[in-house]
Parts: sequence; C-alpha cells; structure tokens
Amino acid sequence: MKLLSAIFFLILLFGSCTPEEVIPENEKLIFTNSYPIKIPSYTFQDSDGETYSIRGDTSYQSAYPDTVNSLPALAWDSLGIRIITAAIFTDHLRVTGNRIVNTDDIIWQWHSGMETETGKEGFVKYSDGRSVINDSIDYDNLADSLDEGHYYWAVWGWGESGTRIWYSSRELEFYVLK
Amino acid sequence: MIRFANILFFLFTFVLYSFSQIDEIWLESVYGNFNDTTSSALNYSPKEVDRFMKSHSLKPGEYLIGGYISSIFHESIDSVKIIIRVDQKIIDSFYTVNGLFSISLSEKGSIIDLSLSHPEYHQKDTSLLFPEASPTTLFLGLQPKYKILLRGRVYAGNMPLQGVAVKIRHAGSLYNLTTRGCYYDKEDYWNCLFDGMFKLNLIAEDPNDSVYINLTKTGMKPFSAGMTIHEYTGDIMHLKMKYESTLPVISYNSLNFKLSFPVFSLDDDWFVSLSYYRLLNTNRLKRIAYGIDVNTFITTVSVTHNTFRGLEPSTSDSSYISTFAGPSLLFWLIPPEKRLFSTYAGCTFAYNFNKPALVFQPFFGSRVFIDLNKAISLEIRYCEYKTDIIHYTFSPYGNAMRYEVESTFEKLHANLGIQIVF
Repeated sequence: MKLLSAIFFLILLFGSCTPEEVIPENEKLIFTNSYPIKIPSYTFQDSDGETYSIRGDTSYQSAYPDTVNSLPALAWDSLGIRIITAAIFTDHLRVTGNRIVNTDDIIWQWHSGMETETGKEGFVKYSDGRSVINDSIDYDNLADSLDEGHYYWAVWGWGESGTRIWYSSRELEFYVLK
Repeated sequence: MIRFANILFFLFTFVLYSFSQIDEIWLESVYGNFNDTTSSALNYSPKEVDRFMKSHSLKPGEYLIGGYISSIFHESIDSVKIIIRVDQKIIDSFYTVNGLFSISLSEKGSIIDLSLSHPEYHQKDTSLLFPEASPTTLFLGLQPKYKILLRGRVYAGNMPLQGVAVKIRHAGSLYNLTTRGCYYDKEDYWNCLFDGMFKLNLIAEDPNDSVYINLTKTGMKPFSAGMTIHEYTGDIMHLKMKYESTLPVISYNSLNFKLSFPVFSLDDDWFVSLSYYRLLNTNRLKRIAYGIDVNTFITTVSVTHNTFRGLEPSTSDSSYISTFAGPSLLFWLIPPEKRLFSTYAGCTFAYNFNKPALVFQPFFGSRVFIDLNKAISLEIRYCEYKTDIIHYTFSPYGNAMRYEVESTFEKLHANLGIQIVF
C-alpha cells in the first residue's frame, strides 16, 4: 500500500508537467501549423475621399481580386499579441518548413515595433509600414507607393517568446489600379 | 496435465505461505475472541429452584440439602466450590452448575458448615442447624471482588506498536502479555482494529491494590507506569514508548530516495536521486559506506533574443534534464546507529549521460530515523556539469532558428530524502 502511494506520488509529480501545445493543422493558412488570424470585410478611404472595399477572408480563391489604390490599408481581427507583422508580396507566398522562402518578393512590411497612434495591430495604413529592399526594411524613408498590378498580402504573429509562429492569416490578393 | 497444474498450484500456495507475514496472523482459535468481554448469565427464580430440588429422588433416611448461589447482582455463579462439613467433619466438596447445587446426606448431625469459594468472589462461610425435614433449600449470595478489564494501546509517536512485551504485576502475580498486531479476521479482512493493544482481566480484593505495567521492546526505552485499581477508569490507556537513542542493530544496507524542489535550489532546479549504500563491514570502523547513486537535475534556462526593431527582447524558457550515475562513497561523521542526526559527508563520481564526462558531486547531510528502519534526510549537494543550451535567432519570416551553446552549470541545492535501512 505504501509502495502504491509512492508510485502515485511520483505519477502526480511528473504528470503535472504540461506537454507542448498541439495546434491543429489548417491548410488554408500560410503557416498551416498555426491559429487563424481572421481578416474581416472592411473599407478605407484615400486622401481624395474615395472609398475602397476589401472583402477579407470571403474573397479567398475568388475569381477576381479586390481593387484598391496604390496606398492600401490592411486590417485584421486584432489578437493583442506583442510580435506580429503584415507584408505585401509581388507573388504568391511560398512557405517551407514554417518559413517564408520567397522573401525577395516582399515589397512592403509593417510590424508591431512600428506601432503608432494611427497604425496599430489590427489596422495599418500603407504609410505606417516601410518598403522592403533586398530583404531589409528601409526604416529611414517613407514607403514607395505601389505600382499597378497584382499583389498578395498576409499577416502572421509569434508567441511571446518569439521563437515560433502561433498565428497566421490566409493569403489575400488585391489589384492596384492607378 | 491436471496433476501437473495441481502440483504447480500447491507449490504456489506453499511459496505464498512461506513468504507471508504469518507471525502477524492472529489465530482466533488460539487467542480467543478479543472483543468478547460479556458472558450470558442464567438466572433462576425461586420456583425453578424448588422444581430443581424436587426433581431429586431420595432413599429413606437421606437428607437433601441444595439451593442456588447468586451474586449480589442476582446473577447465577457457576463453578463455586462448596465444602460441606457436618459437625466439623468434611463430608464432601463439589461445584455449582449455573448456581445450582445439591447434596444428599445419609447421616444426621447437629450443625452443617458450608464454605463457598470462587476466584472472582469473596469467600463466604455459613452454618445452619441440621434440618429436621428434607429437602432444605438455601439461597446464598456472594459478594464479587473488584474486577477490571485492563486495556491499553502502546504507541511509538502516533503509530500503534505491536509485539511489545507487557508485564503487569498485581498482588504478587505477574502477567506476561504481548501487544497485538493486525490480523486476518474471520471474514478474511486485514483487521488493524486492535493494533498495538493488550488486555487483561484483573480481580482484586481491595480497590487500593496497586497495578504496575512494564513495557519493553527492542529499540525502545523501557516504559513503566503504576496505578491503583480504583484509579483505572475503564478506558483504553494510551501508553507512549520512546525510541532508544541508538538503533538496536546496525543496518548495513540503505536505500535512499531524494527529492529537491525549486525553492531548495539556487537555480530553481528539480532534483531526483535514487541511491543504495552498504556499510563497510570492518570491526574497527563502521562508518564508511559505498554504493551507487543515480540522479537527475531538471533545470530551466531562460535565453533572450531580439525580435523586431522597436520591441523589447523576448525570453524563451527551456527545460534540460541531466542524468548522472556512478559509484558513491560516504563517511558517517556521527555513527550511523544514532537515531537522531547521524551526519555524513560523501562524494559521487558520476557519469554525465547528456554530455559524456565524469563529474563530482560532493554532498553533506544528516538523517533522522522516524522508526526503527525508516529515516528522513536533509542533504546539501554540489554539482558542476556542462550541457548544451539552446539559443534562438529571430526570423521575421517564420520560426526562429536554433543553435546550441555549451554552458557550465554550478548547482548547489538542498534535498529531502527518505531512507529505508535493512
């Protein structure tokens, strides 16, 4: 009986260690092994007062993309996490081994270290982010406006330790019309 | 085939019987029912006694004398010894059966003397004139002596102690008892209701009689207590024995399980150890022990790395389990047979399974026995070892990149242990 008690104690002791959290696979996200960041339908206005609509996740795999101006705003359901980024690509995102491989296709990026009064996690204007030149963010200059064409964008975020991607959105597409 | 199975079953039961704690099985047939302290009394009414007397057939010239002996509480008394004298001459002696007695006298006398004796009652002598007619029915009452059921339970701390030799002295008599252990009862349940208990029926002439109780057991200090009969309330006495300052025998083997919690450590570590030691059997010095020690450190290491520009650095925690095993030497600074605070110092020469290398683990500790073969220990241990620590480089495009850096740990902690010596 005493031996059983001792074994029970040891089971309790070592059983109390929490196993690593398992995130369900989600093939629709850019990082399949992450929790979803939802992108709602939203609108934004340019300096001339013209309104643009983004359909968000509902436009996924739509036959035609949303049309925006050359300074689009990006929005998503805020998660309140500390490390998060959004980026615009000139081509489809390619992810291998939980890392984006076509980083040279990134032309614009915003991250939570750039937070301002107007651009916070959940809604950022194009002017809140910076251009990316040769895989490097140009912090010194304002971002160049986008040329006419097809673009792809996504949002992804890390856990508090910054070692692993915990959240990501779908890849969305828009068309810039000048 | 069936015969072979029978042989196997017989061998199995034989082995099971041989290794079972048969000495702890209380045999009801040998020791009786411990719980049974009552007896059923048969009481007779005067009419029933008359009927008993009339049931005898007498020859001519015989005189029948008989009757009924009860206590002052009107309970029949069985086995009262009666000596009957007629004119100072002993005629016969006999015993009552459920309080009833009868004797037929063939010769007439003048005075009949009756002496009644029973160990639980005061002696009674009575006389009567020889009756003219027969039968003569007597109703006699005996006054009981003081009778107590002395019950006690012997403890060592809060644990009932079985196998204690109990000597009870009263009125020149010495009673030797032993405290009971657990046993399998009639329904085959392991019964510990009377664990550590003894009981004795004592009969005293005088309530001021003294009763002395002496308890002895190997490894325990002798215990003595005394009281008078009338001081005993009838409750179960709680008698606590204390351990001797040294163990009765030196145990050469010890099995140790040690555990350290984060609060006991400088680095919030967990530590688990299992070790076995055997005392070197030398005539001059029984203080050196050798053995084997297997232990594990579970430590959490935090590393920081930068993420995006403008953000505070992130911290990542990882747990590392480092396991060691190897021979160990131990020297008892205070002799190991001491029950309290036997202090020791030693060193384990261990192999590090995670980062192959030999490490030294010097330690210093003390143990306190909680009974005769189990002890708790408190130990301080130092260990210096190397292990590979995982660091991270942040990637803005996915999971961070990992790389390992060899680090040296210097661990100093206290641990609590349980020891079993045998």
